[in-house]
Amino acid sequence: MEGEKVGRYLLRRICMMIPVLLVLSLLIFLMIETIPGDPAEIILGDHATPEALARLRTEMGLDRPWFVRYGAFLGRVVRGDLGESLISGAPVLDEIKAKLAATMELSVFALAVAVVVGVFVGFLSAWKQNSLFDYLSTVGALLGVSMPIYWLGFLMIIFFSLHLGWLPTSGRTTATLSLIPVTGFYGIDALLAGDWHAFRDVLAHLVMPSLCLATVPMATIARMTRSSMLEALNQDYVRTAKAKGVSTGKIISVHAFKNASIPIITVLGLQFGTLMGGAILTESVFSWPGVGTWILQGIMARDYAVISGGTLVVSALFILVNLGVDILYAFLDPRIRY
Amino acid sequence: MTFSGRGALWGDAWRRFRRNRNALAGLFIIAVLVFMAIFAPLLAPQDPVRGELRERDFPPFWWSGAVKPGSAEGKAEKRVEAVLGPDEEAGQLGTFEISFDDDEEAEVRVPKHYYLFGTDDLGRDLFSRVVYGARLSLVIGFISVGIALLAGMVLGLVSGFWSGWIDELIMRGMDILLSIPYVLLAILIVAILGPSLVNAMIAIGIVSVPGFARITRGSVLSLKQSEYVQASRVLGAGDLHIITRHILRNSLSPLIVQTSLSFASAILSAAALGFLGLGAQPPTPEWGAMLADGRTLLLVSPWAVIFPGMAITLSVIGFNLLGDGLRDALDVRMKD
Repeated sequence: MEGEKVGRYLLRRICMMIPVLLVLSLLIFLMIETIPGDPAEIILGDHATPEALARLRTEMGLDRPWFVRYGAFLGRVVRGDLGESLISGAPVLDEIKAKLAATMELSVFALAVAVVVGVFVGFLSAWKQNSLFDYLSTVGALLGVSMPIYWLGFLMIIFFSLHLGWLPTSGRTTATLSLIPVTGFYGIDALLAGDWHAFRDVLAHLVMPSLCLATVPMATIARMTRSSMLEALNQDYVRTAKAKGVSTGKIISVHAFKNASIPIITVLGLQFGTLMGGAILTESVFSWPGVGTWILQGIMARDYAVISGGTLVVSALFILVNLGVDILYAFLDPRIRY
Repeated sequence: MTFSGRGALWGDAWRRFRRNRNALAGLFIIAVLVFMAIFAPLLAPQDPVRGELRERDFPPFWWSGAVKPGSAEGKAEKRVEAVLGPDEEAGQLGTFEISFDDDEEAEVRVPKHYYLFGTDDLGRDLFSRVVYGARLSLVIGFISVGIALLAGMVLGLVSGFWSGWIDELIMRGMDILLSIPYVLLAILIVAILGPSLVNAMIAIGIVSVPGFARITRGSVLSLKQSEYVQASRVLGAGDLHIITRHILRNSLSPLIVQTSLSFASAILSAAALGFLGLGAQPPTPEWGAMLADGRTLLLVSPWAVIFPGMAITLSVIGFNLLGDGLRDALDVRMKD
């Protein structure tokens, strides 16, 4: 009975993804459609004969109504054909794979920092409520959600790179470093090669971008942890445990934290979208060669294959992650109703 | 009786709000922002768009090592020190620099005015630009939040009041909007419409619609069941009367809170789009675009980045504090 309910819920959630992806692809298709100029004319140049133009238009399907062309576009996308980049001429899908590793490395690192620091700070704030630490961390969290992260990135570059000279200003590695990409995650690649020098270099390049990207999720997680810990600490079962003489450490770890963790996990899932948006800004500040920089360059160069392929893949990923979080959530919280 | 009752509600809220120091701080920041926006032409000492190239890259007058306007002596040494730092290398390279001493224009640059925030690489006064930027940020906030509030309220009312298939259709549409990352969706819309300030506002407005729609729908659903709405219906009131008289008025509080918080995120997003080159275009004195202008000169003139960013941060803090304060004062329990 229960299993059937969960199954139906999952099926419903997966079916919900289809209209989302359809609308998204329609938006992207419309974007390509609104490019000024006739693609056939652009390909053949100014001196093309009308007959040649007409032939190419028929060949490309440009003479057919928009919904037929949309269908053809969908068909290509489903087969994994996202077109070729105008700038590099390479298939968009191949390029995304390479860029995605860079963005993933940055995001995973940032999320790890955000979770560890955010949970710790929020936890301590709740435990020492109204202390100086609580006050400072509340102010810090407000700053974290209110600051433009690219501004923070610049401040870090001014201070740590230009002023103190501790950290590199941009990129994933020093230009002279030779590292053979195996996984595309440079940190792991360096470890696989057993190259400590390279590993340190990769880490040094990761510090500022990941801190910058971690800011908003960190602040949000700290706030959420604080409030849900405070709520849990005020529950009857915590008071009962205290009265029974259960040790402080046990109360926190067993009773309070476990119950406080559910809202924290929800927030964590929601942060993935923030992370994706933030990655575009962070990558731009630190010239990080990831999906964000790549899409942005595509927009600047009006490379529509890159823009459409990039947004489609990133959004699909985001939707998948959200689905994963929802499923995880359903398993974690027995009270949830489907 | 209804009138005094409503007055008491807002009076209570105001009393709670006044006791909240954070909320008052937020209100103060916003007041300063509005003041700057209204009196920008009087407050700005220079033209925000046109600059003099000879005045480029001057630090704020209070910056350490800044050259004061009107002074002309002893600048050569100071300038060399400022450029090279008091290292051992300075000695060697210093002589090289000083040999250009005859060229007074290139060597000793003295600003014409006291610049509070310094000047950028085109010689524009950054303080004037930041002041004018307040205007843009408020306009961006008003228009994009206005779009979101109007569209969201109508959609939320329709879907909450009439339910059924139309509710399903609208709310699934909102889910779709929410399932694309916020910044990415805004970028996509701007890429379709073309990069400009107006299109950025439209994009931010569209992206913010789901929040308002959900909140309105939620309060409509709960108010629909309330006794006074039922009573009004029994007395023969029509849908329109119920919506305008009872439902809209009583769902104001959460909408006010959401408006303030959306202002904060609209300012932040508009600045982000401007920074990425997708919003306000140069030479518009928009804070995000100013950050993009200043990024190439982090080493030479960090002030070109520091002050616009500070302006963004302070305004966003202002609206966030106000929103949180209003939430407490109006006693709104919000989801998310």
